[in-house]
Parts: sequence; C-alpha cells; structure tokens
Amino acid sequence: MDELELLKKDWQKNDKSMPKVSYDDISKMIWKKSSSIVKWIFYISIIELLFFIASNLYLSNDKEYLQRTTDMNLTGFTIITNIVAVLVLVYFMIKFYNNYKTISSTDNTKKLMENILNTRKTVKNYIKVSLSFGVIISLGMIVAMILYDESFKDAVEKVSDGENSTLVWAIIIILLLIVMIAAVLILWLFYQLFYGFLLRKLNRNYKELEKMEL
Amino acid sequence: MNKELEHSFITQLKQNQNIVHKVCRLYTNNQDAHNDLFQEITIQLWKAFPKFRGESKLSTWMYRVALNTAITLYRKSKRRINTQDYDNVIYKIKAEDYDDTEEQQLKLMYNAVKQLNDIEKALVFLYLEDKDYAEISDTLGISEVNARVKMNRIKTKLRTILNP
Repeated sequence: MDELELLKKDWQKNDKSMPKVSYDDISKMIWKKSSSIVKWIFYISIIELLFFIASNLYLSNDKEYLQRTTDMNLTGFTIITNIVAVLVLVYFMIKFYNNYKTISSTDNTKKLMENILNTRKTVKNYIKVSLSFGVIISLGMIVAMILYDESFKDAVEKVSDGENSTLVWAIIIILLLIVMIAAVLILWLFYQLFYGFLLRKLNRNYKELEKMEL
Repeated sequence: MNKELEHSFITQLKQNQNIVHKVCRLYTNNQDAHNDLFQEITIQLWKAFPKFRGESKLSTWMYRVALNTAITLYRKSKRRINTQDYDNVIYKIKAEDYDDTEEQQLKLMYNAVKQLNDIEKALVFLYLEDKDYAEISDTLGISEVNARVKMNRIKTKLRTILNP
C-alpha cells in the first residue's frame, strides 16, 4: 500500500514538529499522581472490602441482634458463620493483593489486561460470596423467627385475628423474600453500571485482541 | 528513590521523548489531552524504571509501557475543553516540504489512521516505527501469524476509508 509507505517515511522524519519537554518538566511530572485505571480499581476494591467488613462487624456487635440470636437458638449458627466469613475474607484479601502485585505495565498488552481483569474478578467473586452468604443467613433468620420467635408469632396471630393465619404467614414470607431479592438485584445493577463505565475501554480493547486470536 | 536513578531516568526519557509524543499524537486529538497522556506515560515509565535492567533496548521497553498506558491503563482524569483539533494545526507546519498532492495524501492518511480503534492503532504505530512482526506480536501478546493477518486487514480498512 503506497500511502502507508509514504506515511512511514513521513512518520520517521517527523521529529522536528514534535513538542520538546524539558528536564525540569519531566522531573516535576514523575511525582505527579497517576490517574491509571489500576489505581482506581485498587481504591474502589479496598472501599468495597472495608464496607463489607464494617457491615459484618456492625452486626456482630449489635447487642439487640445478639440477644435475638440467643433467643432464637442461633448462637452456634452465628459463631460458625462468623468464622467462615473471616476465613473467606482473608482468602480473598490475599488473592486480591497477589493479583494486584502481578499487574505490570511492562507485560505484553494482553497479559496486562488479563491481570487487571483478574484483580477485578477477585473482588467481584468476594461480593458474590458475601451476598450469597447474606442471603443464606437471612433465610436462616427468617426460618428461626417463624419457628422460635414468640413475640413475632403473637403479633402475627393478632393481625390474622385467629382466622386466615396461613395466608398472613404466606404474605409475610413472600414480602421478606421480595425485599431480599430486590436488595440483591439493586446492588448487582449498581455494580454492572459502575464497573461497566470504569472498564469500558479496557473491555473493548480486550475483546478486540481476543477476536484476533480466533 | 535515589537521585542517581532519577537523573538517569530523566536524561534518557528526555532523549527518547519522541517515542512517547508519537504515541500521544496517535491516541489523542488535541494538545491538552496529549500533555495529559504524556504525563501519565511518564509516571508509568518512572514506576517501571527500577525494574528495567537493560535486557531489552530502552526504546522497546518504552514502546511497551507507552502503548499499554494509552490502550489499557490511562483514564482521562477530568473533562477537558477541546481547544484546538490536531488535524487543523500540526500538519500545516511542514506544508512547504511537500508538493500539494503528497501533502494532501499524507493528511488523508493521518486522518484515516485516527479512525482506527486502539488496538489497530498500536499495530500501525509499531509498523510505522519499522518493527518486525516478532516484536509486534511480543508487545501486544498475540501470535505472529495473527499480527500479520491483522495488519493486512488494517491495510484493507485504511484503503476503504481513503476510497469509500
């Protein structure tokens, strides 16, 4: 292609029209803050991890919550789930840190993209596990509430006034399930939007590279 | 980080800054964005510099980091006002070096390359820098055969853009 050869010739002697950055400017530049996507993902991931840890801590320190778990014979259940939660968290933190450490701008482009996406995937998986965990615990709580919580039982009996109590129970259970599903769905949508925006360019370019290897 | 390393880095980058400028010119459309990307590439190069042991040529190492930053790492930090578009400014400087048709052809070619996607631009960039397919495939992480096939497709694409 003649035009491309012409461009190549011009490209290689282009030097005169290029800007010149001075020694001092470069020395100032190297201490400026990077706005790289890796840094963004790192900060956001840390915030996410902290948020989930904080919400866990908050619940396990809540006296009323603890009292209720004891009332409902759930102490053992709570201890086990907390231990599992800590183990899961430690596992993901180590994995996340290792992934982050392997990101290097001197890798080839495809490898670099894969490493970034892996870091992101670790956090995504952690959130998935945390959410499923949350759902399982909530289900356990609902079951326990129905079986053991006397004050809750009384309240339901009062509302149904002796009649239709099965219907009232069914409505309550369905409502609880809907609220739970809606909460998970909203969180998931938020993530899709948020990361979709952040990773748009990277995903597009990664797909382009993958397409070439087909 | 010690002063000696810093001095060595700045001196070498200053000497080879054209590599970075060329990448910036290809991936941005105005001077502000160009400066922004130049700065980010400089930061990434500086961060990677302590690990640069001279096993590869400095230029090869710079191609990699600069392209990776432009394609993958760089995220525009703030919205910027488009002051001037490149197409109207920079290629006029050299107008007297060429006869009209050649200059016109070049301008059209630059515009056509600008319309390619990020990965295609990277291939064209390395091609224009006279790199062989082994180095192109090594930089991007694709096989040599696929780099060759893709380059041929890009040539066809450029031809289509030039002669619609």
